Amino acid sequence: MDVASNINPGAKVSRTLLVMAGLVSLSAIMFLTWNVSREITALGTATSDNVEWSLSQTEVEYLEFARRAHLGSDLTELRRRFDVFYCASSDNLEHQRCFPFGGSGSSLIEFMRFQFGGASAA
Amino acid sequence: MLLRILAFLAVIILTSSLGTAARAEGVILTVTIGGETKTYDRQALESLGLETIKTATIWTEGVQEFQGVPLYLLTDAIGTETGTLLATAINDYTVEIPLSDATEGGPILAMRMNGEIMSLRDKGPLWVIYPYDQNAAYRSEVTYSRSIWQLDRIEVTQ
Repeated sequence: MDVASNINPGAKVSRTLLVMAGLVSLSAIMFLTWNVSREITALGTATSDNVEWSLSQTEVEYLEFARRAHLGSDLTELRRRFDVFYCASSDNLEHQRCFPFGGSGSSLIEFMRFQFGGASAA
Repeated sequence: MLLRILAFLAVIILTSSLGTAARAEGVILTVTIGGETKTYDRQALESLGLETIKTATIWTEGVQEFQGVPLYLLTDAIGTETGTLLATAINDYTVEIPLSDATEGGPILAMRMNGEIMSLRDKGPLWVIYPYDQNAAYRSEVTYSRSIWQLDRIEVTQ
């Protein structure tokens, strides 16, 4: 018996549709895979440090310093803590310039903005 | 009264500068391995051998010249072949550096940047620098996170 002649036109159309849908989803999967792998490669290379992290680090160093200044500490340790804070904050001022924007409510940001604003106005 | 205040200030300034000088000349790296502690001052570190890396970093602008002790020379000197290095900074921030990173052409413990000793304010006394420009594999978040600065102690764990 001839198989091809047995298939009615409706079944033929639906089979063609099925094959096409299969091809479309296959190419969609391929495209998305390519996209994801490209993004992973791009994310694998970083061109700058994490801004949120370095900002929070600056605040932590500020609080460490401020707390020691408040509670009292020997001068060497206080100086050391200030240098660590200075190092962290100078990074942000030089490379990211985040202080003029946002971050209200944080005593550090307010302090830095005051300092930064004062410096640029002078 | 004014004299007394001046004398008091002079004493504070003198003692503080003496304190800084003593620190600058003293131990800059403490290495702990299996309960034993070894300390290194600047001279002891330099005597292990120096290497220079010229590279740009994500924390500086333009190409910089870093000079310091290659990490593999330090791990050779303390005689460790297995384990992980826990590198801790002055502010107690700690990163894990696998011993497999301590190879020739790998990271150095930079002591000088462009010929100048790095102070605490410039990420000194020690800054782990990888040759980022020379090896694309080092330009990754993982390596950047291992590039700890203000390093002052290393612990070897198994």
